[in-house]
Amino acid sequence: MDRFSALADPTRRSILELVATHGGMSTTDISSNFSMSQPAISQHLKVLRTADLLVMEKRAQQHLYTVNKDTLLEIEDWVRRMGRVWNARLDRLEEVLRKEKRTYIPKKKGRKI
Amino acid sequence: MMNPIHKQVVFTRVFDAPRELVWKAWTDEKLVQQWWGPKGVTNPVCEVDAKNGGLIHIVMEAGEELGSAKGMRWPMKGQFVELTEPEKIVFTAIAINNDQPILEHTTTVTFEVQGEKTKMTVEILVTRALPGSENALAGMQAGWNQQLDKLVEFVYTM
Repeated sequence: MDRFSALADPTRRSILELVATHGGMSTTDISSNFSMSQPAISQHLKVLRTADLLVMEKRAQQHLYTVNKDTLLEIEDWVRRMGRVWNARLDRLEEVLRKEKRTYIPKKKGRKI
Repeated sequence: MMNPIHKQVVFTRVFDAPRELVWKAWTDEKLVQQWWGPKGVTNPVCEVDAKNGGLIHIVMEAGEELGSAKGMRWPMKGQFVELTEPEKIVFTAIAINNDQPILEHTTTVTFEVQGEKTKMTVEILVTRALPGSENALAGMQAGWNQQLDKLVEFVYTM
């Protein structure tokens, strides 16, 4: 699964946010923050790992999850680019509205005599 | 610092125009055609059937101003999911690059009255991205960067 599909799910976004905030967390740690079952959470963790959003490390007896900073930086960069595109588009919309406003007659105002 | 994982991508801007007019700018295809492609980009195809289930099909094409990117096309095809006049528009769409779908997204636009002005919020939730989407966007932006040395403030609420 690609990273955006993985991120489209709100539970997975919450998991990612949780792990980003707390650093290394085990499946049990993560599950305790959610009302859904541990197997369901494990499934989400698997998706996040496949999408390179989470990294799993074996430490002693535990499997600990951390966020993949490189992937998150790439997404951040992508979001920034998307922002520029939209910003440029909205500049244009601003111009169009300025022009349209000159000839615009409001609907709900009282009738002129 | 923005947090890219908490929510979807959100942009807001306040326009000095009444809400009905901002709504019209989104739902009248003749107007959409004038602003969808930013500076240096035209929209040779712009079909906006603003009703529930109606289709939206816009093709952006890079013009002279974008130098080497000239002639590049970025089509988008989708469908309106919700139109609540004059408050909210939701549509889903697929961005296409070189005849390949690269990105599926759901875009929610809301319009709020702020005195004489209108606050518009655009939320984009990318639901699927296929390989190549990042390059396509990079190509589009490379052109714009030549033009946009000053960027008006924008807000990420993330």
